[in-house]
Amino acid sequence: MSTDPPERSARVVERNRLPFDILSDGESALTRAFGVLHPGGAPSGADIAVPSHFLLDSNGRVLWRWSAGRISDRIHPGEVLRAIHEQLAQ
Amino acid sequence: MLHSSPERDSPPQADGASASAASSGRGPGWAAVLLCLGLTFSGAAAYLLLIDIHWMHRSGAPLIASLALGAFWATRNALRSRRRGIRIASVANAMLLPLGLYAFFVAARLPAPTRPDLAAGIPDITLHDQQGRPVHLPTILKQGPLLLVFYRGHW
Repeated sequence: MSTDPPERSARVVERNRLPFDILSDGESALTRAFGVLHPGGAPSGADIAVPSHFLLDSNGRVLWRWSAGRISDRIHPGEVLRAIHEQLAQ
Repeated sequence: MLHSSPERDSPPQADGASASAASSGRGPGWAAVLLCLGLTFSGAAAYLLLIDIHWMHRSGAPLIASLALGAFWATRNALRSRRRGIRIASVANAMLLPLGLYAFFVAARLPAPTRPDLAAGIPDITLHDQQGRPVHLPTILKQGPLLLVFYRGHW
């Protein structure tokens, strides 16, 4: 999910051959609801999201979350998978 | 009797040799300054080239190491040189270390996330994917656990 328009996300999916879809949260409604809005964070001054992951159960309860502390922070995919296995095993 | 002076009889030195002797007496030259700058910026290049190596880009190790080594060498050049231009360039080079540390550790900080407002459940909204297809998240969520990944965007 990103605040980018669908056309830009389509270029990202195509260029990187991503096996998943990217949703467009242009109004930042979901980004704001999850508390990860970065107001004016884009070079253009537009609102963007703090890079974050949320694992939700079928009732919408947050089982696990991670958010970046710095622009360059990205969680390792192995850490994400480990968190998913641990949470869903409970 | 004629006495010859060894200094008077010795052939005149070539301009390059005298210039070299003069410059070596004034400390590091512009070549050293440029090499030092190259070392300082090599960390930034390595950071971008090795960005897929997780711990390297997360810690900024190559960037910080090159800034530190460059600052040390530049400080040494500034202290050893007698030429004003070299000293100014070397001091500017050394200043890249605190500037780089500030940029990486302070300026790059993101706002702390707030508590998700999900008391009423996930918002009942429909978003569109990259093909323009509508996606109703509460419906998808009913199918089982969901991992939502928020990207920074503006790629």
